[in-house]
Amino acid sequence: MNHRAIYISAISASCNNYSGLDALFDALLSPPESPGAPAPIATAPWDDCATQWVMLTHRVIRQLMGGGTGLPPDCGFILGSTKGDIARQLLWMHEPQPSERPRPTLDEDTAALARHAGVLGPAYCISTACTSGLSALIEAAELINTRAASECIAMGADVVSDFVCDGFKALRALSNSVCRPFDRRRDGLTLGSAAAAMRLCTLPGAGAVLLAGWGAAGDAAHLTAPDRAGRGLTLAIERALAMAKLAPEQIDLVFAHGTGTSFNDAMEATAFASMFPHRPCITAIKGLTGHTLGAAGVLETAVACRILQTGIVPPVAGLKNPDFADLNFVVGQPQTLRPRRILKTGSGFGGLNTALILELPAPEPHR
Amino acid sequence: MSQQHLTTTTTDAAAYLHSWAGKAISTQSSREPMDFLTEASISQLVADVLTASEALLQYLTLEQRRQLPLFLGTTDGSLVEDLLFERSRGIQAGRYASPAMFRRTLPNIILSEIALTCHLQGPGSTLVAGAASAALAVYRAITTMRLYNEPLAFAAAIEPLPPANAAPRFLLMLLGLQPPHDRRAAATTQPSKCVDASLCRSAGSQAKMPRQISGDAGIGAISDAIMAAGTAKQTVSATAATGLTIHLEFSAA
Repeated sequence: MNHRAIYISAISASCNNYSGLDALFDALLSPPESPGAPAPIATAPWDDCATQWVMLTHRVIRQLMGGGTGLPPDCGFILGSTKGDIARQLLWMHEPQPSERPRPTLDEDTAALARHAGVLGPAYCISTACTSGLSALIEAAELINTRAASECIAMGADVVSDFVCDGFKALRALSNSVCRPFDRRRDGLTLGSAAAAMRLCTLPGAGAVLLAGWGAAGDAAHLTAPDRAGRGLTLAIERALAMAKLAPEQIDLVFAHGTGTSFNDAMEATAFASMFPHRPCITAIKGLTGHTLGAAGVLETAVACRILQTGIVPPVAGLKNPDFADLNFVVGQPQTLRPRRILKTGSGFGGLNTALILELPAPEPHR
Repeated sequence: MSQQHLTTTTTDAAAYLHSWAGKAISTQSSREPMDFLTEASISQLVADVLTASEALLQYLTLEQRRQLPLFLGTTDGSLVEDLLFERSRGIQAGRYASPAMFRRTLPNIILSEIALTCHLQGPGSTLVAGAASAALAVYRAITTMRLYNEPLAFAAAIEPLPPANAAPRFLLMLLGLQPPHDRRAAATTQPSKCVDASLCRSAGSQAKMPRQISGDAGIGAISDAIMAAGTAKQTVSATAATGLTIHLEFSAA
């Protein structure tokens, strides 16, 4: 089968208190007075996380569909999520006899969202831990490439609950203060709730961004800790570059996963230093958004698209004192870099690594 | 089933089943699904999956393992582990929540354990599509081989929390674009079979699927079809709550 050119033709995103991508992008360009200001940690009780799930997912679907053309009948829908509508699952878990009632599943969450979006084509969920969002984008692109759908919506969504918070606390991965990716004082991640969605198609339109290449690879090293040498991430980047037929020096900006945990940031720094000796600028946003888990990949790709469209690169949110001298972080103020190609990376529990290359299509010559 | 198929696409997705393994963890008497809700039950399932995976992939070279795409289909994600973690979390307001159990609350962890045990570095995805989960994993394994011209792919499916009176079970399949040429590998496994996979687009917004109480990812139907495919062509169709339907056809190679 031949790979087709896949474009992102529409984007929507909603994160914590930011109701849309524009509001989030503005906040990233004008961070709070102190770059280390606390990221929103929304440890929500069940009823709140149920409300958040519906509010965020329905909002981004509404935003995505607004003003756009109708969906073709074979449009697909891929949900990337780690826990889906976790409030429903928690309610089920606390039933006196859970086995007597149908279990809520990610399949049902996907069906509900696909119905809400009016999708009639193939729809299912992909769950690859914190890379679920990027995996959903790749899955959607491959659904189009295999001709199973002519267009596809890729959505990433997850909401913070006390269930997830306690899990990260148990793993000692939560920051005691604020999330500071790649900072000398980084001490862990914070969590955020988000949903983001993109419409993928094969026709370039105004403002469309090209998915030039993608790759995924496993560490096969440890279940929860990243490979210290960054071998899995390096392999994923190599696969994405090979697919895009690009050399490493053709990457203008790296949009890192940047969780603010000691090991993840060090692993990413190692991989970036070995892959990109030309030291492209690096940015990351979890210092502002928190780690939005399964939503992160689509949310951050949405921000990357905005960077390509505006030419302005936000600083690494929360970074004051960079820990890795051999890397070129955007610190403090936004920079007008006008990148043409951005590498977006993600890594997750289970040693999963994903890389996506986004490209601004060259303008058509004047006739 | 009030489902309206808009169109049916038979994608060019044929492949060879090189070898497969499946197992239901036996049960002596009628049991309710929740009877399997123990850490020991999960540990046994995972151990069996890992042992069978390593046996299935034993003849793969390091380079083949580095490239092998992996797909896992599951219905419940990690609901069993979620329940166990939630119980541990309930002790003194999360103070004693189990980090070991929390990592298992991610649906992809069993896939990652297979990758870790078998040193696999190919792209890996956990797919959740209700009763079509296992079939979807097979479909995506085949389409990925064809899309990237990969010679091999690995499809797996697990049901940690089974339907009533059934048992936790799994299915592992090593698929290839070409028939197996390694006689050593072929001699230890079953005769190879052809697999055709197609995806049916359904009117998801109109589909009113019954909610599933069972954890049936379609493993039993696929296992039965593979075993019977030596004598006659076997077809399996499975549908998710979204209306997604996957057809698999098994025949003798």
